[in-house]
Amino acid sequence: MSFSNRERLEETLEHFERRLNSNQVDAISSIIDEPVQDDCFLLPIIDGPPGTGKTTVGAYASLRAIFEGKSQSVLYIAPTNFAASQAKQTFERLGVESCDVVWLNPRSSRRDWDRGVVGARYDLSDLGPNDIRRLRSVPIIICTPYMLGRVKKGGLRPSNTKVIIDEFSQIDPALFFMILSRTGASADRYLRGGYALLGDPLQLPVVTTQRELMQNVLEFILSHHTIDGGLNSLTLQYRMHIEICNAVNRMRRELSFWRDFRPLEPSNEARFRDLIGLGYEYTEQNINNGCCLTSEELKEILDPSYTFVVVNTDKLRGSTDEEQTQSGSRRNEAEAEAAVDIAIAAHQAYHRQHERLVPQIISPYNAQVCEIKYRLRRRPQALGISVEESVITAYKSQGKEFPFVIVSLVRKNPERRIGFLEDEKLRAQIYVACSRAQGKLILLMSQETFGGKPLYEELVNIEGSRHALLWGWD
Amino acid sequence: MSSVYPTRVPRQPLRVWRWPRQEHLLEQVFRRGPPPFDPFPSIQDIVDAVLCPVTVVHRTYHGLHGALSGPRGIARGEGDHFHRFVSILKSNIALGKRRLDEAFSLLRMYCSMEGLDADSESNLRRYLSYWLRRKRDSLDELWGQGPRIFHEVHVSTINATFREKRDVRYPVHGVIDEIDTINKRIVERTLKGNENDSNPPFLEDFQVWLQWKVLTSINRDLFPDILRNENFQDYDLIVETPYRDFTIEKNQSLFEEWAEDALAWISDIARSSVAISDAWQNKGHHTRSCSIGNEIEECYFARVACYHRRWRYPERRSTLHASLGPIYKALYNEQVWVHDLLLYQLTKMEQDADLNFKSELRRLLTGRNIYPLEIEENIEDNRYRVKIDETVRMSLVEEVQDENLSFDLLFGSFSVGLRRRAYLLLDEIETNPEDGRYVVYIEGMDGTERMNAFLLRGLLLKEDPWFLKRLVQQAVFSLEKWGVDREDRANNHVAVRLIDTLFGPGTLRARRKKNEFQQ
Repeated sequence: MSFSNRERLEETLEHFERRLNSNQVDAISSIIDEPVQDDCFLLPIIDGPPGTGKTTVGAYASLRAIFEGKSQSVLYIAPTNFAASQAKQTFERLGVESCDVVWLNPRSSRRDWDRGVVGARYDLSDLGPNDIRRLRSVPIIICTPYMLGRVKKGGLRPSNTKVIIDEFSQIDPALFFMILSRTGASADRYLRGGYALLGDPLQLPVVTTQRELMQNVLEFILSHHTIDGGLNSLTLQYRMHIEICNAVNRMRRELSFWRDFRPLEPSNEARFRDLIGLGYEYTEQNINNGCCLTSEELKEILDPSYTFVVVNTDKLRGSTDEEQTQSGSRRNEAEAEAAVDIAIAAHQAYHRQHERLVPQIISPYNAQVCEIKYRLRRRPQALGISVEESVITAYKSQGKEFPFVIVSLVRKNPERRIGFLEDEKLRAQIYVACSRAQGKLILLMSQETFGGKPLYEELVNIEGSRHALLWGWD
Repeated sequence: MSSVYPTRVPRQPLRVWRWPRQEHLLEQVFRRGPPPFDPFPSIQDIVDAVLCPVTVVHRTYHGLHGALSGPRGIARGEGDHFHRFVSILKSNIALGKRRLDEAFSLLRMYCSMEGLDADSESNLRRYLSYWLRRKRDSLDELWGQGPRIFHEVHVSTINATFREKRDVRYPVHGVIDEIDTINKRIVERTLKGNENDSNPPFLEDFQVWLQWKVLTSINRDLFPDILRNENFQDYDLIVETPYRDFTIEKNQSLFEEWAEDALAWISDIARSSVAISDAWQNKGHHTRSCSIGNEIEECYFARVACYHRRWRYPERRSTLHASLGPIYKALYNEQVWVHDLLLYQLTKMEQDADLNFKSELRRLLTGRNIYPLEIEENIEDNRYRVKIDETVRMSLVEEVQDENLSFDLLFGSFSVGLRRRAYLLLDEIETNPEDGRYVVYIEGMDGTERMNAFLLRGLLLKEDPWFLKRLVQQAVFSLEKWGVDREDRANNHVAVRLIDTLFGPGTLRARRKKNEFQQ
């Protein structure tokens, strides 16, 4: 199994290696190491909060393991097809040719060898012998746990394969045993490469009605065994401005379910990197009145000296309560309009060279995503914004980063109900959405509805912050 | 009952089926923990339970299904292919599209489209030859008759009753292979059996009888127009093998008893671990015992699940087994909350006696699970342009924000409807979600022109999340059965070592030791 551009790839990796911090180097060494050791079993677990480059560590370790001959190939497992496609992009960003990292997916119609995307039916009946041989010779296969039956059936990985499980916060114990069964449970060929777990235990959780499945695999392991020497914790993040990082840390503290909480530290390059630091120029004069917010209000919110702004949606003109749509999701019209106003104003006010800033709008509710898209399409000023890509759900935002993020929390009602945003685990969606931002984060939420709720109270606790603003807050 | 059953003690019939309460059906309570109602069994589940109560254990906790696969020699899936091909052939002849003498070239095309290997194609060709020898005349008569034979008819009831004096109502759903309104027959098609058989294949007679029971328990108002005037009480029940058609008697008191016995097992095993050990003590069919070396030949589970080798390693298998118990149960509970509750909701939405409750349920589900539509145009190659009902247009747009949604397309009602697989082709130029127009790939649309149609989300297709839980159960169960005997192999086998370390006293590390870094 070899890479089509091995020499160039090795050069790229060498260059990349110099930028690794010591925690990342430790994590990579653990992943590459032999799993069965004289006095212990090594199951590398990488606790990588947002922006710490955990997927990059996983991708880099995969390549190193193959280059150093520690493993013949890599099987990279992501909990969803969306996460799998994100992981593939990470490998490609490191310089791996598309055809050397294959995303194995369940749709026969989705097959393009050049792009490294191969769909296959459960019994592989739609793959010819040549396709099977090609898959066997590809150094890296990425897929979801449910595709592992195909991997096993086709014998697509040799025994000396490193199995890397990404985003383990969404891997429950049952899924972990499924992975073990599909990758290791064979009497005639024994798996030697070993497993590694990557993820942030506080990120998107397993969604289930059952308590036994709510634990992610790390919680399950910890409930059965102590881990000698602790986890590989990545705490240096390269994404967020310190103000956003602080807000994220406040949420992490609130979400943390074990004693070993370690706050994230911004790297020197990211510490004070706001939109201006990211190379954007700010032209205040370009801001016009929106439908819901005046130009003066928008100028205040978009002021580049504030990297974290919480907008109290109770104070919006024409503020509305949420409504439930037929699909069971929720939307808030006034909040959607405000998000669109802010996005358009930011698009007009910030530019880098000749390129205007494209803000990202994230909401945990499908209906709100649709509502914002609908309103954005009706505004002629939003012409430069690709609506489909710029408005997404919190789930779809996982694994991505954006210079400017607007988060719409939607909920506003007299009963102060916030549904799953209050759930012990599902509220991690807000943590994921907020931690996508690099240079500026704007949070739209109702003070009346969210005020006093533990996670959200922490989020707006900005006392002493120089770069944070509570807009319209009492 | 006991005198005629040498191998298994009859189950005390249930006094009442545990139905979900209104607040569950209307989703007014949070779904958590064990569901306080019984599952919604399928015809297949009941047939399997009649075969042996242990199949219910495997179905419930280990995600295995389809125990009655026939004796060794018939590859799994071949029966489905044969039935699907016969459906296509019959539809083509009835609609005047293909002549009978094109049957084998059509089979070639089918096998090529389905990606079947040469062995499977050769087997299907052999079965088809036998079948055509007997059916030539009737197929000639079918030419140009139009859509009067219906395949893959989905039926669902909340009013199934068995034995005259008992008034316990049960929910059952399933799929009828064929309803032939020309010859007034309900057909169960199978590859099992031999040329010289004088009796139908094992339990196939019970299966077609049960399908008929379900069909006749449904109020006629819920049938699509095209089937509403049929008197199914008078229909013949046929088990069709490639070699012979068997007519099944409808008045079967033994079958009535078997059905109730099976439903009692299904209910008990879902809620009680005592029932699981009862099931093992009563393994086998009512008339045929089952033990190692003397398994019921038609039972697939006996070969793959009940009796398996005990490996020496991993040594911590018993602790692993103890940890997996609650996980199997949780995976099952999840399926009942997600899948079975939806079956109850959809069936009650059409069949409940309370009109207000029915309309409340319809309001809840429309735009969330069901999307009425109109077929506008046949574009080409099974691709159709459909228009989604205006009231649910935006709901569907909201739903497709998440990727990989799959749908069933049902013609008629949920209680009695023709089920087809449907894929929304979102990348097609003519697809315009805001306008409610989608290009949809639909398999086997023939004969559905005059029926109401609606998309149904997350119910029957194997790609849906509920079904994935079954896959997880299967995989975990196979992990439990697996192991090695050789010590040297066990010492180097990562999976064995991981299990033994995780559930044993060994040292588990997540990172290298400090001194190793320094080196």
